[in-house]
Amino acid sequence: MGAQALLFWMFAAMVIAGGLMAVLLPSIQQAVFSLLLSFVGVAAIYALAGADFLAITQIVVYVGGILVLLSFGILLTGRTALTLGPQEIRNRPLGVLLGAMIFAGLLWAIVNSSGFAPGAGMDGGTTKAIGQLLLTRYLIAFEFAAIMLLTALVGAAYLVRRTQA
Amino acid sequence: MSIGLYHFLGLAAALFSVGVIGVVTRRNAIGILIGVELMLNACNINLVAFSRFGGGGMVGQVFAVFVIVLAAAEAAVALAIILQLFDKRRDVDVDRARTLRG
Repeated sequence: MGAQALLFWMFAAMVIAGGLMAVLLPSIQQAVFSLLLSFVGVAAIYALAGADFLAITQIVVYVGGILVLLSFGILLTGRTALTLGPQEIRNRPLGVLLGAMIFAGLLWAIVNSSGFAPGAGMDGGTTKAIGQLLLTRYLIAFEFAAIMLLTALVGAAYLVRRTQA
Repeated sequence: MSIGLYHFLGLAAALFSVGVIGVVTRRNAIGILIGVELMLNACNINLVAFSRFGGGGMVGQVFAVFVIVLAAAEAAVALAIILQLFDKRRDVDVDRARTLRG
């Protein structure tokens, strides 16, 4: 087993363990911190697949942005998050069964898929190639994404305003 | 056997299933959001794996960038809705938020 395989299995275990903890732990604070484990593991998996730009983006956006956002959400809704306690998770056996069934179905589809021609791996960094694609072929989608982000920010700010009642 | 496309696909399938478990079992709205984020990450692993091993070139990674953008916007709007729900009802339990039920 080469170093790459060893690293892959290590980070895959980290992703799944973090995800399972984020889903099954009754405390929502602990769940968010387990999510950190999972997100960092996913970034490492991207790096192993040769996607260095996405690995950095994953750290910046998910760990630096979304996790902080979730932590603030828990702080601002803290009273119930703490008091819900063991009642926080319902129908766990049924949920795990559903998850296992979906996993089995996906695995069945993957195993029965026809072989893919292995592509040539990208050498060197991917940042330049992604930047060029974003500003040429996918310029329209890029601009729409920018407009959508602006709309989402304005909409979120509008939604959380306090109404004078 | 060296690490190939199918390893990444299997990992993504497992992570997606874990996310589904979170979405269907959590009662806290923020917990459901955590499950959705896990599912989006699983989808991104698939895109990156096909970009590396499937012969798709860089297109998969560009698509993954857009998925991350959408995930960020979705988290912001969902948290805004959750905060407004908390403001109105003083809890974020989705089982008890049934005002719209007919």
